[in-house]
Amino acid sequence: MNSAINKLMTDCNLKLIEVSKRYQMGPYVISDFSYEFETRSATALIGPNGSGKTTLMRILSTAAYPTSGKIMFGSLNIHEHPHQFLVSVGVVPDEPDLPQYLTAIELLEWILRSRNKWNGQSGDDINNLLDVLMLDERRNNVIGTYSSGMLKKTQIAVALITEPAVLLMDEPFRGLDEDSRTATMDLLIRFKKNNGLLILSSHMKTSLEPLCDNYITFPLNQNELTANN
Amino acid sequence: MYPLRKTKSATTTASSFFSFIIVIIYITTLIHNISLQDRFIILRYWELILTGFFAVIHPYLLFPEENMSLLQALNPSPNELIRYQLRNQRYTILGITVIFLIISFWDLHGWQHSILLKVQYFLSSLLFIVGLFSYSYRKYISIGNESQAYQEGIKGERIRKFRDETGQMAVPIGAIPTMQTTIVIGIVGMLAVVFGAYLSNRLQMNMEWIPGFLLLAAGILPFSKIRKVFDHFFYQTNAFYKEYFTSPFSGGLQHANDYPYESVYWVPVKWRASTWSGIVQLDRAYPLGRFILLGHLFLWILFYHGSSQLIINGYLLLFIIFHNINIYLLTTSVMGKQSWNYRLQSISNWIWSRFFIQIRWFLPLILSLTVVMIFSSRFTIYSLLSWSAIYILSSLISSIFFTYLYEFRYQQTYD
Repeated sequence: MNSAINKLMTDCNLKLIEVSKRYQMGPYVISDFSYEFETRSATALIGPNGSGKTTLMRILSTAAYPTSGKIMFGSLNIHEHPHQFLVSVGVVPDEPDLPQYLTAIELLEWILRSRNKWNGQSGDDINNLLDVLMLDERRNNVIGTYSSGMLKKTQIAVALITEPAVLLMDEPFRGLDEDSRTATMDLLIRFKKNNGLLILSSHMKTSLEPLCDNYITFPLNQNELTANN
Repeated sequence: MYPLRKTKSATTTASSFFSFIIVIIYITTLIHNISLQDRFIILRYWELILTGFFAVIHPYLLFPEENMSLLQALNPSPNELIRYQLRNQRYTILGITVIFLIISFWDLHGWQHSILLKVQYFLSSLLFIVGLFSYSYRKYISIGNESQAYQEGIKGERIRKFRDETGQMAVPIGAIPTMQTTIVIGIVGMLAVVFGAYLSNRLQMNMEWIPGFLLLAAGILPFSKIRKVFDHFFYQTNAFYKEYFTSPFSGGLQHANDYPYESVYWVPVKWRASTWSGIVQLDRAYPLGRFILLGHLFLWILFYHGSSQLIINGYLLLFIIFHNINIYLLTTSVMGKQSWNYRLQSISNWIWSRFFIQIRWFLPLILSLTVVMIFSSRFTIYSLLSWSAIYILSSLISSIFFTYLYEFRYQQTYD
């Protein structure tokens, strides 16, 4: 059933319809924001700290719920059916939040098995992905020993191993050395070309130009949005 | 493959185990020679205490989910999410089962003495707790939508207006559905205990399984309706509590002057800064003051109803153990990672800072026990002094114990 859903979802856009979000009775961080993220596109959320990028990423990943409005993935309201939506989604959160006592390989195996995607080829797929991300022989060491760059590579691998239709990445290049950044960029370009839908937040606007087609500047202003695109 | 569990720090595991052992030792020492009837009364008191426990504490056991990004990656199905949450609470139910077993069967005359009756009351108490647990779980898991609506201004306009006009609202508005649920669970649980006791007395046989059965039905039947869309309730309620527990009063805004530094004038200067920061963090993260107030009220109720000395002493001991949760909470990474704390001040200074954070509840305890002493001839000045000494001593022991588990072990690892 999951593969059928995944197949259906590969050509779906992610549509935000008048989404607003505030924390308690504070000012609206996001106000009546409508936008459509399309497949085969990469959109960068750009802006200073505290401007709402991570809030939007959390809403898109169903870790937070909007104050009003809705988000549709095809015909699916993602907050009404988060499990169904997450079948097609890979998430790279800002904070490394990985189990300390598993190796990267064990973690990826766990995820594939949990999502019923493990097969005879999976061991090779894991190693190939970690090769591309340049996570070296320490992939067999426990995650608790990893540096920040290695943690980020592992997070990216976690998001990509299930071949999602949608990738949500919060600061995906933070902590990566230049070679790893280039390799990750190539991987994401290939993901996009294969009908992927990529949304990422970053401070590094200029270096995203080979990858990103659209930019959304935070704090959000609906009028400026059209001009940026 | 790897069943997902909440990972617990050494501090959490040790403190839970240690508290549990103290409770077990106390119960076994005091109940081995009591009558059958007293055992059943004690079981009822425990049912009342646990009603309060689940009513107030349950959302803190369930949320916020600390493995969220991993859960997103694993994407468990609704049924798997239910199993995951239930698994995380198994030790709570297991601990309660052990306590009930001991109360029912730890008998100087032999556990098999009046065994049928003991088994009946044990099973009916267990059924009550399982029923209460399922009722409470069902209520809290589906509270996210309503709570978020109150929290973010979609609902609760009249209450907000009342607060703005009068300035009288000590509770965050987002907490109103939680408070309502707490009150409902508390009342339902207590009435269930009273109803069971009443039926048993009227019919002269154990009918206390009936309220447990009704609670179980009230929990499980509606739950079966939401089972297929459990993921929606889980993610929504978790999203609410994640934001709520981070900053319940003002969404992270305008915390200046909530707890001025000068308010800890009574702490020696050397430890004042870290005592102040600990109190500020604790009070924002955990509304312990309300629980402690409830605890004092319950103590007065026990005296008012003429409860036996056994029950009073047991309750006071548990109450003091609960106070020491303050110190355990301070030694969690959300209050300050080990590496951070270790750089900030020495281990001995942490011990004293935590001791003084604990001591701020000493005066309310003294006042409460003084009220009891005035109105009850059973509670003497000697009792007051004894319990005060136990409180001070337990505070010091807890401060040393938890600081050992947190900063000292860190020092041993990295120095």
